[in-house]
Amino acid sequence: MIPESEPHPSTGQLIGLPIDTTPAQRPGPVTIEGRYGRIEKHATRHTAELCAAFAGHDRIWTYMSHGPFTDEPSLAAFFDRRAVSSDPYAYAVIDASGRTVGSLSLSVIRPEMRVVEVGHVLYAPTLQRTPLGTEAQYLLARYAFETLGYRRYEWKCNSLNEPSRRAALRYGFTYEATFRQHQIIKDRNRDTAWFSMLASEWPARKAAFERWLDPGNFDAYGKQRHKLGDA
Amino acid sequence: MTTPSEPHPKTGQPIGLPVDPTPAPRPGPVTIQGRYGRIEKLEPLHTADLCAAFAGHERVWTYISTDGPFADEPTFAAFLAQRAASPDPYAYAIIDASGRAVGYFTLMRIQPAMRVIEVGHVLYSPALQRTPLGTEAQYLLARYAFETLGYRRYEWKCNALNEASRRAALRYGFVYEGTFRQHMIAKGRNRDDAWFSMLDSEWPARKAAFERWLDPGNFDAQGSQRVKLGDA
Repeated sequence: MIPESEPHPSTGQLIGLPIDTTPAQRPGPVTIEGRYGRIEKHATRHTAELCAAFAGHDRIWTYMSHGPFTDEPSLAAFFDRRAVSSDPYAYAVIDASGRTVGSLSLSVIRPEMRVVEVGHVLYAPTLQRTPLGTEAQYLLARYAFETLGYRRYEWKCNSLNEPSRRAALRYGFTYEATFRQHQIIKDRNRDTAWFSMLASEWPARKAAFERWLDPGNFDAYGKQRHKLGDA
Repeated sequence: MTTPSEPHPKTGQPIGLPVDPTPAPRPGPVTIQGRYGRIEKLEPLHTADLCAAFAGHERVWTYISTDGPFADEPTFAAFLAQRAASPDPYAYAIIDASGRAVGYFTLMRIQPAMRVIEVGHVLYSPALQRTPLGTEAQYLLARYAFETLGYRRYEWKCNALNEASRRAALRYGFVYEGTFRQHMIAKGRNRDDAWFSMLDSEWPARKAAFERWLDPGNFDAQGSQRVKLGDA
């Protein structure tokens, strides 16, 4: 994959094309309404519902740098900290009944590079494999590309985390690399798989999300007719 | 490439193997003697030599994301002073056999807790390019990072358009891992980044290859290499 280039005006070496260097905006405390729920700035008022939704589900923390938490106060303290962090900057995922069922963040925020990552994706079992789980990704990506002006949107995960790798590809991210021995997490080796979506790719990804999220894509039992990304 | 794993004791999910989590020390002001020259902490006293070595060589700066080219010597000297004082990137000057500073490079994005570090901001003047010392300096710094400091991942990245840097990484024994598209905006332009790494487990073989290549017996009377770096 060779990036587009032109010769340097005085040396002739190949260099990248000029681009708009206006920094992207930092994420803010928005509420974004979807069809199956909404995302809104993660706040301490979400903590109680998040504790209820996550308690006892240790599997969720295996590939995270935090958790699992031994008791509710430490789980609550974790969500409270997440609520006030500026990077990662977290959004709560709220279902149609108004219940908080997850949290996801914009992180490693580099406005001057116009690069941001969607990370710390915490989906309670009630949010996993639901239309809202996918819609929350759609709403946040749309916000990052269309409202904030980012040009690279990153996803990374422990390379052993198969569900996260599959999710990235299903959402339309492109696999780019695996960094060997990238981190030491919970005293164990972590290789990191990297994925990205570009601003130029967003219109097609957006259309795919919208086709999939359309109510006509689900049968009477709520089962998808077409997979996300299928024509 | 499969990551070695074992099942999580409770959930059964595959997880990475245990590793020593003792943080690696940060790089320090060492001098490391080689056969063809040495590396030592970059200091303001290297400024005059480096100004002379780099003056008029604009090409050297094209793929450096933030710095250069410099309009005049005072600007370059001010930049070097800043570089010399920085804890990250932490810069080493490369000194030839006659005692002249002919380049510098740095250890950067220093992550002691992860035991990960990058060799970057590699600035080789024409007097250092394609010389045994240019390669030896890489050998000395990698040896320091792995053997003295205890890092387990040693990174190299470059503008994906920088063919010379990509070739150098492979020649030194780094493994290409992938390219980040639209990773940066550098000097007003798009920059894709090519990523490479060398692991602590790979270092003994890389070290042996460096040492074979650097052996005086590997150069003929004209100073031409007999065997390429990395060839058996």
